[in-house]
Amino acid sequence: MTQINSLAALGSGSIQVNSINFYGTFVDDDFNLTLTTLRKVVGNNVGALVVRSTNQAMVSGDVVLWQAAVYDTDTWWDATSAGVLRVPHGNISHVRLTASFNVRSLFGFHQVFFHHNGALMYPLPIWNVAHDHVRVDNLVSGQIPVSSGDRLECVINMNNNTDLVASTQAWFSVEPVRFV
Amino acid sequence: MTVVNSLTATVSGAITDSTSAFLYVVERLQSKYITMSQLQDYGMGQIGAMQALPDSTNIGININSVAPVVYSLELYDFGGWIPASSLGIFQVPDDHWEYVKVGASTVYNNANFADFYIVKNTAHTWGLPWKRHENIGAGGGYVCVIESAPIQVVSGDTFGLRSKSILANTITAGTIMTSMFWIQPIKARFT
Repeated sequence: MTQINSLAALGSGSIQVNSINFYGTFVDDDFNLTLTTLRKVVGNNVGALVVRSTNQAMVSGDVVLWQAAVYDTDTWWDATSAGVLRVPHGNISHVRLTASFNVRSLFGFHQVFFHHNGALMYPLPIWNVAHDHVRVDNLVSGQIPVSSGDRLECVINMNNNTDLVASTQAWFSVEPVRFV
Repeated sequence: MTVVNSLTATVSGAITDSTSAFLYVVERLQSKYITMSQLQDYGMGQIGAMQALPDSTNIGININSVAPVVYSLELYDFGGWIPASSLGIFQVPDDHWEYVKVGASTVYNNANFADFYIVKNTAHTWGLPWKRHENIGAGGGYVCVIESAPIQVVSGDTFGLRSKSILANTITAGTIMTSMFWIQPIKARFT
């Protein structure tokens, strides 16, 4: 194998190169998208999936407090703020939320919905239930515009206290879908 | 003319655009541009596979026991997610993909109590959706749409649908596509 470090090593005149092997460390610039950039922005940002493994007694307006992360690719979840998934940095412009609930209520209604920075915000869905039994459901949001530090939470309203039942049906997920 | 059949350039430290013209060209060729094929390899625009119920082929749901829901029409399959002769499941074809999303929609012909959920390797787990219909009145169709969180996978993992009812019930095909099951790869395994 011929190894050269500059064209000067070949002297003057025309050069035909049939095969190039190149080793070194590339530095990104902002001019073009590179695979390195793609890995950095997309590949490491799958989001987070947090879950409950014990029941949570709920009163109306409570935020669901999550107990563990199945995965958390970019520090979305902090156990000291157990109910919150927080947008970790400014490279993310839109996210989608998904959640699953098993809510036990002896009677009455309950609503399960997402909060964005502490308030219901379009286009977040509300799941509205008026039944007397255990009920399991799945919520999916649209694409939500976000900024670094935004808080995303699951909230339950009800007219009678109830439990969020721990199982594989109790989880909350954030997925970044657009980057800047 | 000098002919070089194999050329290896090795430098120490960072290579930037200000490095020699030769290195600049090589850098542009090898690093600075991404092809559509590469983008797709890394997950952009991948749609996976979808199966459905053809017209007039309703499926009965087991009473008081969980059973697989087997859709019988392949709508599309980009990448080999539906194993040969195995409609009703999706299987991760290789280790290229690290995360997928799965979802389903269906219409029950009776809204009496029924469960409808997705399993990975035959078990329900965190991140997979589950819908439980309560008894909100018999006789009407009841639409169910469910979607998973991103699910981490390895080659060979399977996804399937499960259902159970406490009364006679049917997943309805209808005259339009209302009952379907899909998988979408969303992140490649970056190495």
